Amino acid sequence: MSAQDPALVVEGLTVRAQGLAHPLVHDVSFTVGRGEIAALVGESGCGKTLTASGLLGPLAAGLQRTARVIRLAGNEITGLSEGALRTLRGRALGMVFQNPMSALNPSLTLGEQIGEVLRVHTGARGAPLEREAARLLACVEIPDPERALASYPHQLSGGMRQRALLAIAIACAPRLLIADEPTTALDVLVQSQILALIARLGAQTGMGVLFITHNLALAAQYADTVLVMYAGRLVEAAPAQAFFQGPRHPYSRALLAALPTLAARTAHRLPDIPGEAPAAHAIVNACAFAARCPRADAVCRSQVPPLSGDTHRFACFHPEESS
Amino acid sequence: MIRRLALRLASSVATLVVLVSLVFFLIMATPGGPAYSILGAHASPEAVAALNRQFGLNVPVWRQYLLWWWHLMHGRLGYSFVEHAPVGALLGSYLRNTVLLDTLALTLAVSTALVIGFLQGARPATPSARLIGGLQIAVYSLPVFFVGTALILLFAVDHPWLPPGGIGGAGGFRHAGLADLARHMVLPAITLALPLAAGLSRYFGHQVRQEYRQDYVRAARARGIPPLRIAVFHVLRNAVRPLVTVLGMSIPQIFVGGVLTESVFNYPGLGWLLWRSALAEDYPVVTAIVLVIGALTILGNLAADLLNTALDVSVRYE
Repeated sequence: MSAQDPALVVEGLTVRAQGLAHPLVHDVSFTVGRGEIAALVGESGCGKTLTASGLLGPLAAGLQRTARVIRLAGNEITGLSEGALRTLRGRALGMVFQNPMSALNPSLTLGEQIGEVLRVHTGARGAPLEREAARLLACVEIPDPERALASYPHQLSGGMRQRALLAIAIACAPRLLIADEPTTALDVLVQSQILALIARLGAQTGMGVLFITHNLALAAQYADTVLVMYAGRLVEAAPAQAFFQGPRHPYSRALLAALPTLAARTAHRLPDIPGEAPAAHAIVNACAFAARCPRADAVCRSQVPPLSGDTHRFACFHPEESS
Repeated sequence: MIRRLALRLASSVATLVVLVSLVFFLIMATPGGPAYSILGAHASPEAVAALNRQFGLNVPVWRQYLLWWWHLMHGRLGYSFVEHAPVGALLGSYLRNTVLLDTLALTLAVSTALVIGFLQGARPATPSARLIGGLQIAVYSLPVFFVGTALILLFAVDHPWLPPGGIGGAGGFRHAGLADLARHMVLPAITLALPLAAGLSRYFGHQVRQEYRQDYVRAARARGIPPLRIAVFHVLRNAVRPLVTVLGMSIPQIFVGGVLTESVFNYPGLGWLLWRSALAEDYPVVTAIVLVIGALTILGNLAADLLNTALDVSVRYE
């Protein structure tokens, strides 16, 4: 492992469900650089969360992961046993989930829950453990950390709980943080505070962040890279600036066009994308977006477009013009 | 906290007063009476009236009722028509036997429920969990008198390993040492514990299953907490709490099961005495037992409530 290794390299990640002929997540490849925020965006059910939990697991029963390469800060983790993966979870990779109300055990204090992950992964005990736990709470800007350590989840607001979960996630200085819609359940003001905090922590420690969201506005504000998923496949991957200036995949363009703006308030209805996203395993030999795409032709309906390109990759036979 | 406790106690006492009064008037309203039980159904009206006068049953019911409370205030529970002894002294050994049996059965039921419920809840989709689920319903539905009789036939008659009833010693009612008492308690304790264990384990299994589905368990897995630690430190801890409440509520079930169990096994406890006294229409004994069982039930519920308060962080802090 060298200082130049990206936080995460994924090649050919595929997740299959027992009894389904076609995978739910299909051949996904991307890289998250050190200190970088990669936003994984897409509609509900397109495989964002499955992609994230397919990296290190644990996967729900009945799901299987295969991948050519998964390198976490230079260390290959494909082929590791479940026991070896478990020691990496929470230590090399931190996770923050969507709902801070339920991701903490209601009957344990914050101190016990932060202490637990430190004890399990670093073997710390006693006073040093307490000091470290308090330091972590201070890191995520929880006021009066000593008091917060002794409080139970129900005594904290949603924003405070998400900060505490963030403290648990970064407790062992992971190389990668997976933030799975970390702010969806929070109000708008708290949302941007939490994301700014995540961005700052990433920049300070070189930790890469895989930020799963369907909020494109947040992605535009914080992400360095944008990864767009549709029906279990990556359809566009680009540096954030290039993406927001000129998305090449018609789906990406439609997503951006569907963003509500202040001007749209005068319109009678918000812009949307006609039709519905198909299930990932339903589309075999066609572009999954073809049915909803104004540019689709016979080729689109008979072949899966490959994800190609250099820094700005997209999977489309008839891409939008680059601007 | 003190205020809460005082309120709970006050309402408990009120409940007890209503309960005992209800039982008192219900008994008084039943036809017949202890005189008929003692003298036989064909006794002459003169003999019955004489005995009733002797027992004080000829005065109006409301006076008897007030008199009963008056005596209770002075620590007297009345006088048994059948046993010719003060009820207070009579209850002592029966109460001890019942407490022994119920404690044993409860311990047996709870420990079984914890183990079986956890195994069932941790792996709900396995064939063994489904088998356990079926057995729970079967065992729960078996009537106590059937299970008790079956156990006696199997382990006391066909294979005479254990005594079929009583508690040993002279006349079967005075135990001869702890080892002998324990041997006499095995079958009734199992009979009493089985339906309770079935109900509690089913409930606990469901709780464990629910806890395993919680987000915090998923989150703990995602941060590499070992499965055993998740099971004990997170899941069990949270699943046990509602069990305490259910346990408190199942105390009456133990006493009801106790009446049947003790009758089947001729085990000299409160349940057995209640059954006998009810048949003999021995009013003072029946009323006193209802009072004692009611008080124990209320105390048990109170204890469960307090324990729950101690375990539940969000109740404690409010």
